[in-house]
Amino acid sequence: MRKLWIAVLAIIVVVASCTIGFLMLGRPAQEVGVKVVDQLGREVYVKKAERIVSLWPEATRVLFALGVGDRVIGVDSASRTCPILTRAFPQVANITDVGSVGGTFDIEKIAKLRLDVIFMRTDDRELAESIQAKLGVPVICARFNPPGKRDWSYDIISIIGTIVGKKERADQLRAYLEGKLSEITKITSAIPDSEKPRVYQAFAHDLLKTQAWVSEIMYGGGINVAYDPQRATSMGPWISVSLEQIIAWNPDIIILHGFGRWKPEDLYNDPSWQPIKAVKERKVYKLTMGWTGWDPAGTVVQTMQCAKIFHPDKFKDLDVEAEANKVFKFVYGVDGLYTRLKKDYGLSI
Amino acid sequence: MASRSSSVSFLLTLIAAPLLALVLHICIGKYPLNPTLIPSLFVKGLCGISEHNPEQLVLFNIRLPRAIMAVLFGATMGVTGASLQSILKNPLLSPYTLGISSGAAVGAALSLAFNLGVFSTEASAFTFALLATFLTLTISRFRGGLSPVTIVLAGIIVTALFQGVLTLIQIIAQPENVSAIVGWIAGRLNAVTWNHVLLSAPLAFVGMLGILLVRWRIFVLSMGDEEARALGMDVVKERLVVIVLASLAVSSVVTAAGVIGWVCLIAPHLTRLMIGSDPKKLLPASLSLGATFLLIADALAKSVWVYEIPVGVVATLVGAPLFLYLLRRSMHAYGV
Amino acid sequence: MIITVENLTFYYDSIPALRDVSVKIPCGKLVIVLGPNGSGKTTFLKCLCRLLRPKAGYVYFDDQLVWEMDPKFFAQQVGYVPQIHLPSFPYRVIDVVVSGRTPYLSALEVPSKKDYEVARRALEPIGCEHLAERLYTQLSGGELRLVLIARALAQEPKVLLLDEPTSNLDFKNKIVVMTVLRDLAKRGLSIIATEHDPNIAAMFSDEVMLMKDGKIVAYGEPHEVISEDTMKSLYGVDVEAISLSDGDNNCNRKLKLIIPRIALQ
Repeated sequence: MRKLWIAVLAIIVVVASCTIGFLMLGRPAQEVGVKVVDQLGREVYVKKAERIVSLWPEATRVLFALGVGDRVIGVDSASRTCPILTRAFPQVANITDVGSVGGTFDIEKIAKLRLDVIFMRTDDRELAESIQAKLGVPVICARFNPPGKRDWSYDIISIIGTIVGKKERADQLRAYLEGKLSEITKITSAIPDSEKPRVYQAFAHDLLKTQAWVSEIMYGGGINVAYDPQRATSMGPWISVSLEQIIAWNPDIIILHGFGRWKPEDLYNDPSWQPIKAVKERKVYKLTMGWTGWDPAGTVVQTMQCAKIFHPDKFKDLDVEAEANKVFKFVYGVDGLYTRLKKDYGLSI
Repeated sequence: MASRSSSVSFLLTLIAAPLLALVLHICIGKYPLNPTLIPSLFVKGLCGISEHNPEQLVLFNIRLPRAIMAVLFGATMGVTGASLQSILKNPLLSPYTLGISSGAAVGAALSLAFNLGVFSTEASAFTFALLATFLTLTISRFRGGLSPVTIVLAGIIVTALFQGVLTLIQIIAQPENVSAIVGWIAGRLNAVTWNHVLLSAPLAFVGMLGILLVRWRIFVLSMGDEEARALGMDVVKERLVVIVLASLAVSSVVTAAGVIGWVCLIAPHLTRLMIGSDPKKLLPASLSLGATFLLIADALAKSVWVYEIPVGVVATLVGAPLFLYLLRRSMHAYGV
Repeated sequence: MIITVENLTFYYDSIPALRDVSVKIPCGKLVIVLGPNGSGKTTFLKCLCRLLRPKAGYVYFDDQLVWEMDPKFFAQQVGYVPQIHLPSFPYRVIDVVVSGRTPYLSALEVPSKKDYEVARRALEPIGCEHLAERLYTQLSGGELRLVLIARALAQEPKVLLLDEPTSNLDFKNKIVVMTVLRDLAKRGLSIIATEHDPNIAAMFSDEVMLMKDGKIVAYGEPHEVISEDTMKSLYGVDVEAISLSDGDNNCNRKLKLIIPRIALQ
């Protein structure tokens, strides 16, 4: 009989604690302030955005582009080491480091900062909910490739812009970038497939990893050799291939990561890569400028790079370096940023 | 007593199976290489005639090293798995249980995350793999006199320890480096070059050969420490020798090709289920079956789908049903 | 092979298992160590075959100190049959028996055809040739014991040490085993076996060693050592001793058997 009572008591305790926990976790941040719907469909209320923490480099870059970089009081470690940000805004290196994307954030460090809003990527819903519940601070999830979209969306700029009260600048930025992009795509979209070069883009740290979907190749008027219409959606971002497969694809152009450790010479000097057309014709380029996510200016700049390399005849008058500098100037207000990156990293164009 | 002819045919099977699988492996691949060209390409290549055509390059620089690495890896895993299971009297063990795989992973992670320029990633991985084994043996020696049970327990502790360190490194590291780390650890047969093969082959050979030479001692150890001692064996020393040989071989192939799972468990068991536990045949057969199995799994992994499938996944998908089937047929052997 | 034991003392942690045991065992005899559980029989046996290191005392085989002998050489002289063996893998009986040849093999060697012949011959005295190709995980407890004895015989030892060789055997196999041991002793092997049943000792042994609480309480021929008094002091059981002499019931020797008094009621 006693055992029965103990069992009943235990069940009651378990059910009660689960219910309480459930209720507490589901409790949203105080429903005061502007209502925002983030890219995970979460309804979040933001009172003010004077003290901001960004746990996602894309958001950090957008914040600086919007001109509110001084409001950012805490960032993840990838933001602090971003080659573009550290050159445009050296003070980034002094912002408090609160952890790393995908790792654990030092939640107490964040708590100490007395902040108003946190920006994260869309991949970690549970983490976002838990941070919001623990700190009572609104967490907004957004990124350049929101769930369900394979190409860039500049929505992240609008979302963040609205929250920090820089809607005008956000609209301006967005219009500029979309405009610059369409300048290129209106030419490249008219190019028939038969005239498009076949391109292989390698991952930063592994030449044998690539992506099934690469937006800038497409916008630049090229064809991604690793693209497979049936598979491109089901496969995650990075896929493994063998060198044999690359040789079989025989791409016309190979793109290496701009901030990665391989240079075109590494491929030119490796006998195993010789059969590939891109290597034979010395068409290996070091270009990509992602750093844990996209740079808003980078989306346009990379498309320019691709367009110029894929179709030099159609973009004869495009001086990539000059134009890229202009784009970076518009976005970050800094002169000659692309030239500096090109020199420091040995970018190909 | 097995007759002369049956042991000859046994030996022939042991050699023929991996050879056939090797031929299959070399003939398959994403590059359109007509298999009928292969023999002539081989002859030309061996005679030193280089034609600088893609076919020759694909065959000699890409397919051949990958196939040979698969043989080395599979054979090593098969024979070390079987021998460790015997001497530790536990059919559920793999060489990874002693901490080798998590040690190698930590070594690689440290190098990739913090760019320790002095040591290459391979050197670091190999060093830490051996360090982990050393730690396992030391803990087991001081806490339990290197008995089978304590070795396994120590191995579990060391594995957990290194896994913890690995997680820590991955948290601290930059996200790009984390991808690189994850990529290094997962089976990397698709990225293997002749360098990898040449680096790992010597120790793999030494380890495998050593284990084959002492296969009788391994058999006697598998029946119990006390009785082995009564038969004049220095149980602790001989067990240590086997573990060291196994660790050297496994560390070197894991350093070259990453941590490919499942082969080390499936190959020895498939062997036991197919040919029984005959002490003279078990270890050579595990070696052969391990190589054959991995060759077939890798041939599938590189050809079945548009992109590369991790070979460990294929090994599991192919091996597990085969294992179940054989198990049902042989349960009675274990007295069940 | 004369076995000399001097002042053998052994402790399990702080519990004494052998206290100052001294005895001289002549060669070519079947000696049974008789005693209740915990009397130190198994410990004594294990000290003799070097599986346990005594805290004090010496064991000599033919004037050679046992602990100074080369392990391989020792294993060629002494065969040990444990009471319990837990099989992990399904090996064939013949392979298990031929593992008894290990003391004659170097570290890199594998048993030869000759070794396998010795192994097969070792199965004959115990009538187990038909088991040679069976998997030893499928044997009964008794059959397994016989296989282990065959393994010890394959060592071609001069001394055989057995820990409770008749336990778990059926009536016939008890007799088979004890007869084999008696015949081996006649051929010159020194055999020491621990045993519970006084009658087995009485029926088959040449000499009996009674042990209690880690000490030897008596040593001698069975009909002298096994008596109503000794059984009472060893086991605390009242027994009636029945003597059979030369001429009674097909008997060619002096035999004294024990029946518990309670069974006579």
